[in-house]
Amino acid sequence: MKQSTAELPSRSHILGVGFEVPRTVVTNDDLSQILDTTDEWIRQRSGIRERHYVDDDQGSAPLAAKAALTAIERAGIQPGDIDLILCGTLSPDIDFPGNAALVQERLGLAGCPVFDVRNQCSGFLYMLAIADQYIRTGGARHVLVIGSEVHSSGLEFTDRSRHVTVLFGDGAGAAVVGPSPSPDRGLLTINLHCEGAFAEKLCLLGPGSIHKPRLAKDWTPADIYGWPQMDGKFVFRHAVTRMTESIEEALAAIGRTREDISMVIPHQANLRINQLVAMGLGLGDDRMANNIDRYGNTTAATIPILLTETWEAGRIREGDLVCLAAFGAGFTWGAALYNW
Amino acid sequence: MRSVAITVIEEELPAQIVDDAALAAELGIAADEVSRWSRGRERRESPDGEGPTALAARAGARALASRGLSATDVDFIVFATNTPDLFFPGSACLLQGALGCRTVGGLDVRSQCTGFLTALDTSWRFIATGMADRVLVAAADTPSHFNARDARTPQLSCSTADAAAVAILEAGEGPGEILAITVRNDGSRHRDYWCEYPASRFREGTTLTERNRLPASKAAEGRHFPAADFDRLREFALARVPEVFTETLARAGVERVDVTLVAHLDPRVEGELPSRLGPAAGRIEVSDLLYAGGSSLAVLVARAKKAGRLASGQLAALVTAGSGASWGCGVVRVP
Repeated sequence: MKQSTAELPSRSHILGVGFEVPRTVVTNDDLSQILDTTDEWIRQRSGIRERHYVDDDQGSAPLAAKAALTAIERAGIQPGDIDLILCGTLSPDIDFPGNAALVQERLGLAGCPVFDVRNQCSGFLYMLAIADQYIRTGGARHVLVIGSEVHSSGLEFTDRSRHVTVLFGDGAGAAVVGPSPSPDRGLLTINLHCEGAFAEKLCLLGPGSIHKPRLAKDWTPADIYGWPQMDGKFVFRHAVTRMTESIEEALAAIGRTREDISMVIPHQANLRINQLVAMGLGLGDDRMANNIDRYGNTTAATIPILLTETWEAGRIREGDLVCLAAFGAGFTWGAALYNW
Repeated sequence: MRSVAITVIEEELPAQIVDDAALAAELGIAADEVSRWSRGRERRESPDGEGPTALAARAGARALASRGLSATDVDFIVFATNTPDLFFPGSACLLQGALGCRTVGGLDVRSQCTGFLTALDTSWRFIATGMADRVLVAAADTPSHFNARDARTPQLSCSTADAAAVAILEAGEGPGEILAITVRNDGSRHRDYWCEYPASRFREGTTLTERNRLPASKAAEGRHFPAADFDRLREFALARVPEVFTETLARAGVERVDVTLVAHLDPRVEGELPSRLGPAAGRIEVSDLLYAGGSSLAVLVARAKKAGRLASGQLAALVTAGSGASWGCGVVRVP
């Protein structure tokens, strides 16, 4: 590709953010009516008090489109200014094509490129990196990046799966990524990682095309093959280690230190994970945001939802060093630093 | 901004060849009906337990070896598939483990029939900006694991097969250089070629315990199998591919290419497109294999090069269209 670097933005930045969650709130007490669990058990182990569930045939794409419109408005652009749509989800509306196509239809943006990113809990970070590459290479000017999930239609509400089911909620968060308004602001560094050796520590095996046919003829909805599975303790331990490592890696990449971080926006898988990461980095509550108590784990949507809430609360200001960090199924993980 | 080139590309096909008669017997239809869709092309199918990652891992190992590299030399992985091994996590993570790469980034893209073009378009940018020096791009699909294998909707089983290819991208000009890629989508046509279930947007019953993305009733109806409207896909491809071809050649700064490689679910399109593309398309190259989704173009490049039908440094256009709806074109110098 022949293009003068002088014509291209040197950095991308997040120009607008938004989120959308369904109206229906499901508390721990609500779940304890159908699962052998208690509010105390869930809160002690995860920090979650409640989560939102869709209550009709609404999938993750309609939530995504609503979040996107808020982000677009806050970015000060029109939907027609979007020239690339990226959607991250592990709970797509339909099997294929992905949610990006469905969001494109809802926003009336036929013609622009769209694709789904299936990187689970780290999906939003992977999409920010992709958006950054497209903007810095002239492939797009405004990239719509959306994480959206409807988990509630894909959770097993039985005691066998209660340790997984209580953790997840529905929601969507979006960001418009575009050229940074000034050369020193925007994305400073981002690192991305994966380790497939632990893929089955947090997974949904099926339907999966490793099998022929991908869904056995004698399959029934009770088959664990069709429900998410997690080795919670194993995932917890790796999450604390890897998130801390990737934040340190990002700081080292730009010659900054832990003390320079203004705010960490971590993936919301478990409050205890984030508390241990904060402790390891010497960060107080004032420098690490969390909202898992109200939304649970919304996977690809956790970071943009939390980023939106933190920004709306005035806890992120121009010039702040803002860190986004994630870890999840794959395993995948990473961290990004923005000069906001 | 650095120029980026495909320095090696290798394909991997399953060992098993399923001929039209064998498939006809399995589907319970006449052999000539299968032949009407397969049009003499070879059908390779991978067995139970061998998904896209296993195919991509073999192609990837060969690509690395032919370039004199080890898996630890890779610093980013991009995997395009429409038929992932697991529902989650994605196949890039599995490939990282299978090849023994370092814990580098592993990106899974879902772009259906334009999967390879989207993966290429994303990957070269990571190198151009300096975020990565060497990206392993995998495109693999196993539609034989996914399609309905019965007489209800036999066209997809008759028209598709399994395959994978891996390309390695590095900074550089000359042979393999990526000159321009354009991918476009129209989500309003997502039902032209789609698979409805599992579907997070649907649930059955009114209580939480009844929720299920893949209710047994929908599975019984076969709505977890892909469905395609071949006529709509054909009409769309014939209208849109010439547009994106012209646009991409202009962006690449070339008036014509030496060869155009065409991949489409419907073999009729491969026969009809050349006249729509005109002389700028040069020689037309189509596959002797059945369609393998987003990996088809990558496999076609690898096989044509191996057979000596593509010469290093030739200008090549890669065109495709399909599910999404998605369509696109890439202009590259042959590696």
